[in-house]
Amino acid sequence: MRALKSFIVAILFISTYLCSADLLPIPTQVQVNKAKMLLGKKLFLDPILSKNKNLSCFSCHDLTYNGADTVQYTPGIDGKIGYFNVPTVYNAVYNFRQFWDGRAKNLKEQAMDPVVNPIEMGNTISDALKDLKSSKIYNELFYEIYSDGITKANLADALAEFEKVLITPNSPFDQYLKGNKKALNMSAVEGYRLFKEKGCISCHNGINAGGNLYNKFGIYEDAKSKEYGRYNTTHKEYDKYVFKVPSLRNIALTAPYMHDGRAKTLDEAVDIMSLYQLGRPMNKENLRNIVDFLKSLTGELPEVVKDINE
Amino acid sequence: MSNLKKLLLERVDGMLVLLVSFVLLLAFLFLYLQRVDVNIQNYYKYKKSMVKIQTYNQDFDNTLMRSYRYLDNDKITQTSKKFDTELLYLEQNKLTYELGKEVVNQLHTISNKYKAKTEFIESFKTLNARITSSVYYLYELQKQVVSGKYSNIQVENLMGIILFKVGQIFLGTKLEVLNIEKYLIKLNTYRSMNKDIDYFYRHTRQLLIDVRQLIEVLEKNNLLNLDSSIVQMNKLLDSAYLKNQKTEENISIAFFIFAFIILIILIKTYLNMLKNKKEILYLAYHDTLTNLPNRTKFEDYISTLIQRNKLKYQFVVLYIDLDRFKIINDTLGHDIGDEMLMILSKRICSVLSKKNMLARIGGDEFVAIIEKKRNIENIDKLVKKVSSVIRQPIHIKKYNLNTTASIGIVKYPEDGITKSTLLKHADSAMYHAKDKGGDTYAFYNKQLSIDIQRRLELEQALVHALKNEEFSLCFQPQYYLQTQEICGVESLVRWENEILGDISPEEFIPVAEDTGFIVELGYYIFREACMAYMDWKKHDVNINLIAINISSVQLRQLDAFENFKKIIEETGINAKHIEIELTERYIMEYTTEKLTILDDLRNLGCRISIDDFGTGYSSMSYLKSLAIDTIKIDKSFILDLLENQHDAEVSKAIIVLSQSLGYKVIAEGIETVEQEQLLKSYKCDMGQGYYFARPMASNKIISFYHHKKIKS
Repeated sequence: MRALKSFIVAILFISTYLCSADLLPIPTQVQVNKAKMLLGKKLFLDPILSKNKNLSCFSCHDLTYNGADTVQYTPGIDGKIGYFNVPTVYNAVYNFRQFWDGRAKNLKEQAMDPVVNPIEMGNTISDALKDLKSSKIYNELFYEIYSDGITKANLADALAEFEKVLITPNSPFDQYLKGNKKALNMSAVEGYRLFKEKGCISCHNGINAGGNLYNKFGIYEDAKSKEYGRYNTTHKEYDKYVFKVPSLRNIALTAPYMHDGRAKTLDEAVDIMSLYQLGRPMNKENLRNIVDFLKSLTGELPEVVKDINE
Repeated sequence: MSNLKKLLLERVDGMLVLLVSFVLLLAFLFLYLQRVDVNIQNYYKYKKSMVKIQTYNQDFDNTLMRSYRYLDNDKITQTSKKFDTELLYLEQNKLTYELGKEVVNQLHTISNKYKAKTEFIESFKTLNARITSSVYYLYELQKQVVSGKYSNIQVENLMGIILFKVGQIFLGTKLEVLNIEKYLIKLNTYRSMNKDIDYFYRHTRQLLIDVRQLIEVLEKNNLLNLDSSIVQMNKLLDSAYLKNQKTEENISIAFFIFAFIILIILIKTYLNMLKNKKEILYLAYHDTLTNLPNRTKFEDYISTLIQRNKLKYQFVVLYIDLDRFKIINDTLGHDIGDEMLMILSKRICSVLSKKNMLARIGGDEFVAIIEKKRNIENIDKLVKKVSSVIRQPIHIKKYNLNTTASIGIVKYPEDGITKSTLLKHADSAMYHAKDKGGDTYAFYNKQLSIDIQRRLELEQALVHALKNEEFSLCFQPQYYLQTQEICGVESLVRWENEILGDISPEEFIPVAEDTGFIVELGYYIFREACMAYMDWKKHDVNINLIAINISSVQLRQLDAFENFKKIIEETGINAKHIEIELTERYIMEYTTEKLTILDDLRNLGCRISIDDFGTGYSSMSYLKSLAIDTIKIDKSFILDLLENQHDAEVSKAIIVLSQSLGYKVIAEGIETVEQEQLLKSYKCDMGQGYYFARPMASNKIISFYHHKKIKS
């Protein structure tokens, strides 16, 4: 009887294992419209979109480092503080939704939101477009690409096009996945195994090691989040504290962690995840291995940002 | 011809309008079909989109079937994005206008359901991720508990059963059947024993919650039934498309039929136009009465013949003119005349073969072009045949009509090589035949042309002759054969022209008759004769009668009697002294109705005599009914009286017959004593001729009369 039970459970495990999702490497190349992309880059770096002309996308999303900021809450216009830690723009293109609560379907939908957010750029679309239209260069650049010139849709399109190239391929782990077994040290390899065995991979999978589903923050323990997350969009009880599962790409660079930046270190973050999400603390050794594995997810910055000086 | 052109233009304008509308209609039809084609292509695009949507939905459903297993979330995201794209494409298309409200509504339904479904899928992903990770955890925890130092067989069993039941969940067994709660309650008592047991307990609890939620989500998704909406949409799309297609097809067919009808009308109009054109041409080139070609057609034809032939082969032109047709027309009316012409044209046609053209070029003038070689060789025979068919009596209503034709014949190329000369010569030949007394034919020869020339000269000269006082009268006495007493004089006209010289009445009277000048001349002669008689009377010349020749043409004048009467009154002559001489031919040309003028003249007191008797076709019975007094035997009989037994017999017979009918008889042209003696013996009443007296001027009559009186 017991043997039979064990057998069934084994079969079960094998079958789930066989059908398990996996992590996939980031492509080294991406197809874009170069003119749009370059216009997007210019816009990304230009504070023209903000109300006081002090903030650009780049102000919060440091392309020269991690595509995000290194503090818990980055001040917006007039030093206003929000409740979300800045998510990285790197590899955002591979996210199934944008923003922590996933309220934007894609990059185009996302692009305009910070512009009009009163605690971010604090601008209005009409003012932003007006400012752009008063610029000779932007008029020329837009009309070169779009027959209707400067519009909200075209502005979003150019920014989204730029963000498409913001990917970080060739991380040690990607190289390992592609067959270079020496790319990872022993600890990281063990970390990858544990990552799968502990069930991390059930949420952090695919090309972006996450960023392709929602989950509740704090399943086994109350995470005491101030933000409701997805609930704000759907207003459904079961969507309370549900957030987009973030990508683990370049995770070593994007401290602090969690939507509210509550975890200052990667160890802390893994600990929180293990306890809140998997329902059990993780021992030190396993944690070390997993952190080592996570560090191997840091990739190369794209060519297009190399000329950006802080 | 201008009418014809106008008519044609009108027709062509109508045609043009039709043609243009036809082309426009076809163009419209073409464009419409083009639109239909675009619609079909659009439909295929929609259909393709819908097929894709259906496939993506099936992908979603496949994903949802994979509960408790790892999911390829990236793939789901991709599929979802593709679904969005297709849905957006359909929503942004002009489906509303093209496929109807129902389709759009259905599309909204799909869109809404899809939104709901994505929510379910997200929930599914979340729950499934938790559940799958739990399985690892539960297994690991169980292993740790089993291998741990707090080993408890009951706990181990409980955990084993729970894990087994979880496995059964994964294999599809229903939660209610498994009743895991029961074992969890049992396990609850051991939770405090070990942290791992607690974790196991809590994990299982969470798992059960998640599984319930997952099942709920799946049930909701089943209720959503997006697939059926998509299928429904496909059906709607198909039926809407088919409906559109059908109406478009019907409209197309209607258009096609319409276009076809217009085409038929167009063709019909065109044919009508052709027919009308033909009719107009026919009218332009044919005589409406006889349906024979008219003068234009005839002249065209003869021109083409001449051009084509270039003197290579012969043809003959017959110029057929009906004798005395004018009289029939004038006396019996045009209806009879027209009918006669129709009958005659048919008769002539029947004699001529089809190859020879017969045309009517004037009231009573026909022309035949003889091209058939056999006919040309025996042209006399053919002409005689034509003459004979014309001569046949014609019965129209109560009338029994006789007519004859004078036929002129010209040969091409001998008698002329141009159309105009041929026609002129044919006309000359015809006139020659007519001059011969009609009912005959004449070939053209050069002499005829000369005669015609002479005739034209006479015509020209006659116009001014009266004004120039070129005419004079002379008189020839008539006498009783028995007593040698003068019983009358015949007034004869003389014409002396400066250029042409003396012209005999035999030559110029027919010309004057033809031109109508005879009327004027006739009154002049009548007046002059009357005046001469009155002059004689002043000089004691008591001649009983003065004979004056009156042309039949003059008698046809409606006011002839009035004019004669006026002259008689003006000159003061007693009408009983006037004897009007008419030719026998005139009498025969006239039907009885018109002879009232003779009665009128007779009632006035005039005597009537018939000149040149014996040369015509008088019937004695006819003569009997006429109001005449004297018959003049033609001089042709008297000339050969002694030598020709036949003439003598005829003369004798005329004398006897006339006297028996109560007419006096006078013999003309007595030149010898022998002739006079013979006529005397025949009991002829009177005589006239050179033997007794030559014609003489008016004043000579006086002396002649007195001389004779003294003698007797």
